[in-house]
Amino acid sequence: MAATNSSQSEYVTIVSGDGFEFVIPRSTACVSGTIRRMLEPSSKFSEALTGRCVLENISGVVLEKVCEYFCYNQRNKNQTNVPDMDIPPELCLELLMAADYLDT
Amino acid sequence: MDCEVPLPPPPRIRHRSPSHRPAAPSSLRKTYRLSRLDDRSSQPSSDPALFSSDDIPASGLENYHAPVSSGNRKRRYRGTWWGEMVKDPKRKRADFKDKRLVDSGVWMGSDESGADSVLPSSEASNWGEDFLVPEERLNPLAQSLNQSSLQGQQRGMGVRKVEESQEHQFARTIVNDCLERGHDSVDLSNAYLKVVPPDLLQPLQHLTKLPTVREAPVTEEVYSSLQPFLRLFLAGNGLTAVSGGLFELDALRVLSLRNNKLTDIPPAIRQLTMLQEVNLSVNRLQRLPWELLWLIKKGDLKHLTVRPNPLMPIEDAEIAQWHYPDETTPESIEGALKMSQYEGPAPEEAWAPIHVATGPVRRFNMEGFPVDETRLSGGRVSEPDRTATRVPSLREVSLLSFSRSSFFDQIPDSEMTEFPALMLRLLRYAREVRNGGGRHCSVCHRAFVIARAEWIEWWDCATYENGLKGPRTPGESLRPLPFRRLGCSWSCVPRVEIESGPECP
Amino acid sequence: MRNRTEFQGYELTLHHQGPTASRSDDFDANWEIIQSALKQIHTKNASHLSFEQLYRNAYNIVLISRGNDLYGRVQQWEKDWLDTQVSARATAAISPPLLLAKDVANVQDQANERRAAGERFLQVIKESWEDHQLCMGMITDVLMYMDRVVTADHNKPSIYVITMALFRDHVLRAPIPNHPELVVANILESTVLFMIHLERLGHIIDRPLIRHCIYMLEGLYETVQEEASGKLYLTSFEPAFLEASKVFYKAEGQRLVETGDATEFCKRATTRIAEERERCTYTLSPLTEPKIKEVLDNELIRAHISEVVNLEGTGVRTMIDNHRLEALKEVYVLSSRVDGKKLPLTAAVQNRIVEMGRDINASALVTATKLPEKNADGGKKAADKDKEKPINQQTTLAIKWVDDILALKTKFDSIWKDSFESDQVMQSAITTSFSEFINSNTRSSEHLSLFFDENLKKGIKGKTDDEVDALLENGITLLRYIKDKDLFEAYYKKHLSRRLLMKRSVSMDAERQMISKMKMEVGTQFTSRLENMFKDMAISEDVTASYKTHIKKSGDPDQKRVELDINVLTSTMWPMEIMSNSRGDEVQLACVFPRDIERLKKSFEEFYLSSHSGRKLTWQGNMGTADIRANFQRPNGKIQRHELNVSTYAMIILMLFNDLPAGESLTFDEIKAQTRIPGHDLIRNLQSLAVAPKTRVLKKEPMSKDVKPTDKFFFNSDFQSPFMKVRIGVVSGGANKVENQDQRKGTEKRLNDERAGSIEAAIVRIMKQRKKLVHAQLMTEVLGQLSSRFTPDVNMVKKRIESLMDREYIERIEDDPPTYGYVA
Repeated sequence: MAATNSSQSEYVTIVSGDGFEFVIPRSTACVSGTIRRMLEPSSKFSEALTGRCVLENISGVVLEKVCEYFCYNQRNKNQTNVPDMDIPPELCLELLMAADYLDT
Repeated sequence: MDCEVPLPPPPRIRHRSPSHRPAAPSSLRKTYRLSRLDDRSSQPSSDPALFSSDDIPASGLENYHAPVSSGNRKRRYRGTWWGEMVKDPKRKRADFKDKRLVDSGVWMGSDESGADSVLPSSEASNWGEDFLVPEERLNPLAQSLNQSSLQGQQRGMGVRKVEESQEHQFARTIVNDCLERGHDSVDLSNAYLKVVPPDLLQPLQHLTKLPTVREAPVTEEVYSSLQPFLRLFLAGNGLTAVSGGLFELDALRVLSLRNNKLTDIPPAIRQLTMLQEVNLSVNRLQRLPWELLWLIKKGDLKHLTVRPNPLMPIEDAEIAQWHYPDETTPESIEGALKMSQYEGPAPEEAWAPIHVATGPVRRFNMEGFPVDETRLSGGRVSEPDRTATRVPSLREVSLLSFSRSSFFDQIPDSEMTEFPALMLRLLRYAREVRNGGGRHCSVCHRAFVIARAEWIEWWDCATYENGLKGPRTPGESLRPLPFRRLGCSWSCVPRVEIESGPECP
Repeated sequence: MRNRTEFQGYELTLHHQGPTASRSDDFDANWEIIQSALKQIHTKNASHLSFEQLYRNAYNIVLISRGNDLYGRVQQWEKDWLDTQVSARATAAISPPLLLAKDVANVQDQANERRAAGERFLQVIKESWEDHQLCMGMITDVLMYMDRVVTADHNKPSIYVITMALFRDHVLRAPIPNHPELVVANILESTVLFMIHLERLGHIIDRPLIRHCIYMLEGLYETVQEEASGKLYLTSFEPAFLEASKVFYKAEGQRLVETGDATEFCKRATTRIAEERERCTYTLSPLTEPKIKEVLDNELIRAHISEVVNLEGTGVRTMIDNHRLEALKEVYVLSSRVDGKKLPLTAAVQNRIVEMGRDINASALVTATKLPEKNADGGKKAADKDKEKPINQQTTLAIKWVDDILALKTKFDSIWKDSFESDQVMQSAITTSFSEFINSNTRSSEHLSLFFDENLKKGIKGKTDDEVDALLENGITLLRYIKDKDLFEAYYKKHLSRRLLMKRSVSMDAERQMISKMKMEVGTQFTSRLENMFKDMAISEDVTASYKTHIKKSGDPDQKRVELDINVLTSTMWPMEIMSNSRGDEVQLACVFPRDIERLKKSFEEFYLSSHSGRKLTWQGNMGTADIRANFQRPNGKIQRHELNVSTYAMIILMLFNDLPAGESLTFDEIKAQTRIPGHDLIRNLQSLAVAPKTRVLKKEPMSKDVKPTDKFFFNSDFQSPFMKVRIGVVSGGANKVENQDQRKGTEKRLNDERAGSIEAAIVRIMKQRKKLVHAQLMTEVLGQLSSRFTPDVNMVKKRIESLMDREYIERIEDDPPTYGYVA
């Protein structure tokens, strides 16, 4: 990992296709394989440099739930008894799609 | 229990088959093999209730290839022997056709379907053809994909209720008959059901027994429990899969799936906690669900008949760890098997299943693809989920939630194909799991869709295969059965794995 | 809102992005973007690229089911890129010196030039590889969604894997212009080997650079399945490296051996081993370590170790002689790398031990062989002054022999411990050799016993318990090597009996300690007789005491008392044959005691047999001593009194003169007739009484050393001595010394008789148990049973078997194979 420069801030901004912004810790965002690759410092893509990921495909409603999942994942990472996460049935298909896209 | 009435000795099944050639007595493996087939498996695998002195010719373990020529066979009596022993001796079981005419209350209208009555036999003659290719370690998804199309057709059939096949109608009449008369022994054997319609069995949940009315003197023995002792016989039906509906019959005590074409028993069998006797013999099972073992250990299961089946022999299996007689790893399989003789006595061991060995754990990624363990370490395959966390993936969370919701059944197949291929795969997988009655992690009990870990545990259950007739005797050689366990996360693996693994607080 | 799934009530609708009609346009448009991005990435210009956009493009392509096409396009694009850009750069970096013959022999000439060119070339390769790796990492990340689908649905390797394979084929395996037979990888290989060769010659090279190139070879595989065994490093570079190393070390080994310095050889070999290990860690791959070790072991060590060990003047022999532990250790370490048994080394060490042992044996024998000659013809001669000396000298030599061996043993122990890492194989080799040369000295048992005798008599005076313990322990160590333990027992018994009877032992504790040590070493059976000897001594003390009280009670007080101190010895436990009077077939009558003594003897016999009926007492005159008070009538009338301590025989002789008028004489024959003292004992006693200068209580005519039957003996009233008490020893009688030839013969004969008995006993024991046994088997069992005591001679065993058959203990029941049966 070459670059541990100033742009490697602790938080990153995830932006939905319809413009909603979510600021979450970098490590939390990296629960998603896609975002993790996006932010990979050695590759120096613009997202990695700016710390801002715009996910054109994903709507704010879904992204909010996705971010909630990221936090849920982080929180329970080392837990033995992981509580269930509540998913509204009407969102689950879209969430599945987002999960597929974000590789998580 | 009415089984106590004396019985004509059950027919001994002789498996005469080319594969049973006279074995060279030299190697240990051979002798072991033989012992696997002889001994206690000389107990009939058939249900005691079966009348047929001539067992279905294709029933032998080795005879799968031979097509079943049931076309011109004489109709046999179906039903239990105690069906004959009912209080009212006049009621003989009616023949298929008669019965349908007499008792077809609901389905009266479908008279012209009588013309189809040739159908079952002609179809039945094809049974043997869609024969299973000895399924190597297919990944469960690939498997499910194969079957999903078939499922889709069934679904279609299910909808068009009017045109329900004759066999299904017949099955329904039997079920209804049982319900009506308070019969707790439901015999759907040899009913040419290739699938069990989803709603066929549900009514049995509410079956109540009718009190027997007898003439005086009324003694205490006359009273019998009105609690139904529910028995379900689905033997000889050519079933390829067991549907989830079956596992909702939580009062079920005896279940026979003998002589079908089952390749897998869904883990959901665990829901049948009242189960006392299971017969899975003469199927295509290479392994058993671990949940059966759970039913033995934690449930009420006392008699487990699983042989013959093409069960994976332990000699051919990869073993990660031996547990019996001690934890040491023997140098060779032969050595291990030599060692795995029951050394007695340890009282609880004389009866309880003995954990002989554990196979290696296969892990799957978030999409259910097997992960190449050797590649995990090097290369560029950077898996975010390499760390063994118990948190389900977002895919899993969504999929589980979705498979529980009522939308699930409403998406027509045509629309599903609109989804990205990878997602479609998951949806089909989820549907498969749902049809099988759902899954629960064998380690942490969380409900899940995509298995992330899978391994085989080898347990000797001889005493249970025996119907708990006697304890093990010292020196008896163990005949471990393969039980497949599923885990919902990379942390839900055998304990040793966790210890050597990187985490778990 | 794009790509949003909406739920309205229970009705489900999916809106997909974009019109499906223009799917191929979509593909081309998306591919355009991706293609330009590929170039940007490869030219390190990615910072303005949006990962998300590219990822989404690839995703969209996959959604319209063109993922496989994308995969193919990327693959093609990368192939072109590698061909046009990377490969060109790599081949351009190959300068003429690198193309020179791969022969590394004459490196000196253009070494510097070639080296510089090589470093430039490696640098280029390294950079190309690292760029490719990094870029493909990024590209694979971007195309991850495609990868997932393609790998799952089409069972193709990841795009990363496939482009790595492209690098292998289109860069490393690109032909070099003008040299169609060569590809870049050949140059890479020869350059790296050249660098390593330089390093082996002592030059400093750019290790990290090479390491990076090796990383590349380790990261590339022969197939897209990427099996661990298919690493290019293992398939191409490593074999070449091993081959080059083989050549190099073959030459080096040859050269080192020719310099003829074993120490130098071992040092170099050790350094080389360390160097190669380091090379594997820092320059090449740890995977190679076991293989290069094998090359070193084979070429450098296995091929030469035997020669090195035996090098004249510097080999193991010299190292041992100069006690060069470090050098020996190196030899040992090298040997043990290639051979668990370390044959050349053990052989050399063993030879040296046997040689040195032979020297010790020889030096002990030098005088020993001279003496018997003297003894042989001088045995009958009259006692001669010098005789005492060489015999003592011989005893000293025996003791020196033991000391020398112990010194040798200490030396090899320290070599074994410090140089041979306490290796088990070496230990047993050393033990065998010691045993070999010790047993090659036929007198080793006697020498050892003498060593103990000497130490128990004198050596341990003033030493601490620990020192005594160590001393005895050393002796025991030697005992361990001795095969004929029964012979040692015989000597020890003999020597012990003298020590006990003559009260020569310094410390009884030490004696007992010695016995218990032997018991531990050899076993109870061995020491039981010795222990019984101690028991007899103790009982005798009691008997003497109780006899005294018995006399006091019953005795006539007026009688001139003769004090009696007696030792009653059990004849089977003591070496009677040594002490007994019988010599050959000569029937020896009991000697005649003077009256007083005879009475005393009778009285004791009476007393003793009253409490121990059924026993027979035999009096051993030759073993006793007597204190007598002698009055010497001086011519001036004065009477000079001396207390003489003499042997019992001497006492008997002197008593004869009591009854003799002064001035009268007795001839030898007369004395012999009157006393019936055995001839040789008589001679010796007379010698000590009449010849030994300081103790001439008798005069002899004619005065000479020898005693002839006709010699006359007078009482010497002129006897003078500065001491009141005079101890008159018997010539060569009392002290334990090396036996002369005759004695040895006797000892051997007795030993053989005893052995014959043991062998017969063993045969009968075995046959009684087995009833029927094949000859060979019987032999092995007999040898096995007896090996703890001695190594039986096979012929002797055969003779015993014959003898037993004659006596009908056993019978021959079959001829082929010869089988015996037990006759009950």
